[in-house]
Amino acid sequence: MLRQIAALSFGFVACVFAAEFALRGMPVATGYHYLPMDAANPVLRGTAHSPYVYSTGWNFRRARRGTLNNDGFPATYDYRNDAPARVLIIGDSFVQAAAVTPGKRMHEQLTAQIAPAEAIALSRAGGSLPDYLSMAEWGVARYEPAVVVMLIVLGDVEESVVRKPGGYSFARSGAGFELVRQDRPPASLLKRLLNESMLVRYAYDNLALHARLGGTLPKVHVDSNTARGVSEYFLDGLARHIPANKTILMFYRGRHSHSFALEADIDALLAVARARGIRVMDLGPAFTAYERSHPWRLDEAPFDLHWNELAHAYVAEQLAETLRTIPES
Amino acid sequence: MLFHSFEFLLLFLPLVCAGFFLIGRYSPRLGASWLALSSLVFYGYWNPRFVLLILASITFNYLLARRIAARQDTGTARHLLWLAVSLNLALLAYFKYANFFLEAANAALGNDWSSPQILLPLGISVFTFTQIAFLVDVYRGLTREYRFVNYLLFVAYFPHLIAGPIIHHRQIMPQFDNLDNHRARADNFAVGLSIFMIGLAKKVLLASSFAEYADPIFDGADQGLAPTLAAAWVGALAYTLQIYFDFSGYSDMAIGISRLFGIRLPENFNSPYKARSIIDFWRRWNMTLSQFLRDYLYIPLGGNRRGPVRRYTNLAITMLLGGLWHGANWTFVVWGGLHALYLAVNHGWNELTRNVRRPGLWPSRFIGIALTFVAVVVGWVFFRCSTLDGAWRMLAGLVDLRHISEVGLLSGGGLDRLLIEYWIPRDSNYYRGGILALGLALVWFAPNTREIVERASASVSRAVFATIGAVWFWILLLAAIGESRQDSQFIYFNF
Repeated sequence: MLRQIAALSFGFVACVFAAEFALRGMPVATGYHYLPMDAANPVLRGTAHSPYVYSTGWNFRRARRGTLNNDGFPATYDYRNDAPARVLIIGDSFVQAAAVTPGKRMHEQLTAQIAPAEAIALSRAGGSLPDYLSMAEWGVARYEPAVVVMLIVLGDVEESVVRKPGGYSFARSGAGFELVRQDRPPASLLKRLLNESMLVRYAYDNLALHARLGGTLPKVHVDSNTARGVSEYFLDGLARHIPANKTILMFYRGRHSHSFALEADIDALLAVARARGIRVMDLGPAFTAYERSHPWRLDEAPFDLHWNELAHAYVAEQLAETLRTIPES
Repeated sequence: MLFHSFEFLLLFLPLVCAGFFLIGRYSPRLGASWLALSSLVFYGYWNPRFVLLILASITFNYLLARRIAARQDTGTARHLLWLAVSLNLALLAYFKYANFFLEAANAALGNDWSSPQILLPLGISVFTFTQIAFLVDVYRGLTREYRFVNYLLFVAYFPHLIAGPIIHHRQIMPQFDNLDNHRARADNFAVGLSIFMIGLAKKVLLASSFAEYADPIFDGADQGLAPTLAAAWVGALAYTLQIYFDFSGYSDMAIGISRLFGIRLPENFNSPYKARSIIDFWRRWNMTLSQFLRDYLYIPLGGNRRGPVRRYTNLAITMLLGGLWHGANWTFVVWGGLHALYLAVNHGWNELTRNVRRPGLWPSRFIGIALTFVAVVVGWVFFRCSTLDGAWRMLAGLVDLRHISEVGLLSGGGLDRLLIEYWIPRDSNYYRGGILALGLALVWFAPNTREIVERASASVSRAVFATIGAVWFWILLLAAIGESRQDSQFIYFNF
């Protein structure tokens, strides 16, 4: 019996090693090597100049290899605070653009168009309004940008009240809200060891095991009062760091939104923003017009609804045009 | 519960196996009861309401079969057989064809009768046909006396219940009585899991990949978009490969699971795209259904014993009903009719060239395989489309030489809209072409599952337990891949 169990285990373990060995030659998604997040390092960013591999699905679709820059964000150039004029772009996975070829992301293409000015992109996958606010605070202090551009997507208002490790949320405080950070401690030894295994990484990232293990944000619904309060608090916080006339809110509704509640909350946020003199760019009509006149999609559906390189170039172009209309003073 | 879900692999299957072998060691009859009960749980997992339906059907047919057996060679037996077959077909017709006939009547009579919302019970075609065959053989005196539990297990046996292979009592029921099968045997586990693994790989790695290309093109054609030459061929070839890998993958998985219990299910596919003629194709594709249609429809109709006219008529009836068996849609009828025509031409050609010596040279083999394959591909266009209009659009695309220079799928007018509306993957032409070429190479040149297992059996027998461990790892990995692709049911679950 013992011999049989040993033989069975041997067959299993031998295949584990064979798979591990084979996957080491494949572009398995590694994710970014994030630094711990705490008071000293209040935004989620990676280790400077660390390499990463992005790919998705069992067959490593859209494999990309790249390196984070000096500040631990995905960009092909280091961020400096002495460029002639700096545009700070803040957003979630759409801005992070892990699936886009390095050099073709929106901020990189924008930098090419507005040189010698420079676009600095701060991003956090799964981020929402409180994350954007914290990145604005950190980024404005660090880079002193001339303009802040923030990409808002559907669900950002609702997700603002969800706590997540390595992220921010808006929590009720008396009659209003407060910005709450949930620190991200250094990874445990076991986690670091598992991270070294390509088989584990393949199962976790490529095969989306993280989604089955609860790694995605829960769907939340907030009432309209909460949504309005969150939006007001967010815009108030933003106003403390950058004047309204130097702020652009880009809004992307997504291709197949059917949630009237989410849309209503975002519409309310954008209406308040407009009333405060913030410029709002709704990308929806521009995307529709583009896809009507071109034989290309702007995303990678059905596998990924994030923007592809064409979309990043298109948004960069639209953004460059808008930036030219903003007075320099 | 899908065979490749973790609920099935990590919970249901181990529990059923453990229970069957533990109980079967002490009482084979109780072991069979456990397997029958597990089969009903498996069936009820999808929709508990229909457990009552299948139980009622099994009990009714069993009781009637006993009565027929008791009155063999009498007029009463004949009447009982007719009654049983009619009621079985009526049940099938209600669940599967009520809406189809109602819509046809509406169209013919100009009525506006509303269609009832009828949910098709999974596997109803399989368990109905299995039981009709049993009843006919009882009437013919070809069965032995069977216990109810064995009959229940024979019909509801979960590996084959949903989508076949269609099993015959002569092949299966004696195996339930074989005491050897109630003991866990490592070699059965090694071979069974290996067959299961190959089937799983066919489903999650191949069938699902080809579906990504086929679905948007066929859906687009059904919605009114005219595919270009390249798009139509990519769609048609992708579906040709998808349905083979999907259905043969399912059959492999069913055969593999059954082997764990020592029960050998019949082979259902034998490299059908290597067929040199349509006659040959039907000896290799969905073999258990072909045998059923031959033994219980074509031959009772008279087969080829009553002259050429009756022969071709019988062939046409068999294939048209075979087409309609797949679903209540005119596209299936056309598909069946098309294959009846193919078979008639094939038989006619064989008659004409009966006295001609046929050298087995490779050019003639190649031409035979290529012609058969193209004919089958054209047939699948009707099989896959939801509407006849869509099928005609696809066929027009297959011969639309006006855009022959537009080999790049992304430059074609029709496909541009497909890209936007139906989410065809934006892969490079090299990648897309490579995937299709790989699929074609596999169906034309690679050995099939039986051949692979036969070749590997010598090395498997030298290291049975290591093989089980190794195969189990790959099954779990493939199931995780299937889970990540959100692979849902198999194509033949719809039939």
